[in-house]
Amino acid sequence: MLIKISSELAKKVFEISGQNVYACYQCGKCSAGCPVVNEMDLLPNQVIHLVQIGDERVLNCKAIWICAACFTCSVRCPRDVDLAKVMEALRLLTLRKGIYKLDLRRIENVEEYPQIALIAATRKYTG
Amino acid sequence: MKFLYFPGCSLKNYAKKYEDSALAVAKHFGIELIELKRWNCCGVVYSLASDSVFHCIGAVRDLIRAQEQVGETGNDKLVTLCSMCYQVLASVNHRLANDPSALETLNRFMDEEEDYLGTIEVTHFLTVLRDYVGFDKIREEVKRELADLRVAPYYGCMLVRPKEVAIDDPEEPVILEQLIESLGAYPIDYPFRTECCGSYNVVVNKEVVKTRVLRIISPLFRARADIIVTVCPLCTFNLEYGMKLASRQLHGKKIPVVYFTELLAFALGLDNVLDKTTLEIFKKYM
Repeated sequence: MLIKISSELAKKVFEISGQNVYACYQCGKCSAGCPVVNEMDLLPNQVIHLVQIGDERVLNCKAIWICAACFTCSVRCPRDVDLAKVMEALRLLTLRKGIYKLDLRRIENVEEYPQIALIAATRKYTG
Repeated sequence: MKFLYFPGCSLKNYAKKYEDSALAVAKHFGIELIELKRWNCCGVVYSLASDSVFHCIGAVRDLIRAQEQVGETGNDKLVTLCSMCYQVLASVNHRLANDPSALETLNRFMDEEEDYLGTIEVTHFLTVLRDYVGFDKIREEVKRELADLRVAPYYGCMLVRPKEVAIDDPEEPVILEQLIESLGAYPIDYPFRTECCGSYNVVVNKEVVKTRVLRIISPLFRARADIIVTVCPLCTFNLEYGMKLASRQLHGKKIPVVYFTELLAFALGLDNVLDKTTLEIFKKYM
């Protein structure tokens, strides 16, 4: 059977990340190994599933912002889906609209953090 | 032996002791790390968008600066210490090697600099120690008896993932353990040495880092770890900060965190480059 990228959302994700989410057969290995899965409202494999079925509610979930691109899922996926890239694409669909998830002026005790943390956060949570 | 060296922001501020100890260790083994004359922030995190090269610009500028200076070392290597810098520079380099159109776009955009040719090889100081000094040579130079020192190696993410730029096996890395063994100390085997510390989540959601750190260090008390050894300034910050946030759960217990280069400097007897806090940690092995 020819795998077609059928949902609009999956097409957008493919354009940004080069990842075809329909290669995923939902084995759940990504969720099993994700170190921050306890903080997420959706399991990583559920994030992929929502993209597969084109459910745009996935863009409003917390999970995509908790993912810190540690690449554990990416190196373990038996179908070579780079989920870290899919997560980034989903974040970019919001950030590229100019909607940011971090306001530097509102960080409490900003002086406590080394610049490596602040710059990384700025890069991931703003455009 | 000479290598070009990219420090990155942290090594000049928050992680100054990482740089001080690394440069001293390098010198001890006859390696000269030549800092790039001009460099800028690498970007800290590699952009995973394949439809844009915008976020690669900072890193490419650094690679061009290295290219301008390759004549000084006679090799194409650019050495990093911070593992986030390593991963960004190496990932951008890898992408440009495999995507000629991205390289062309960037070169066309940057009209003040010379074109990047893609010939720089980004490497990490740990790899240099392994490949150009060798663990046997390190073993011969150790000045201290560290047999009682129990060390938990903490790799974090950025040196071992993704596969394309990993300096060791993503699931079973050994390079830190080999280094610790060569110093005569005992490397502790525990399950979370390559698990994420929570990274930049610390800025927006400290709880993530607190939970992560509690989990990562949880086996280390029973394993009687004396110290945790790190390769990354952000891991180091998060481990220390996470233990502070979790001090109630930990009943005030803490495990000191040092950069691998500090442990190395101590083992080699280079005490003059270590700060007071670090010397205090190592006090009982003096």
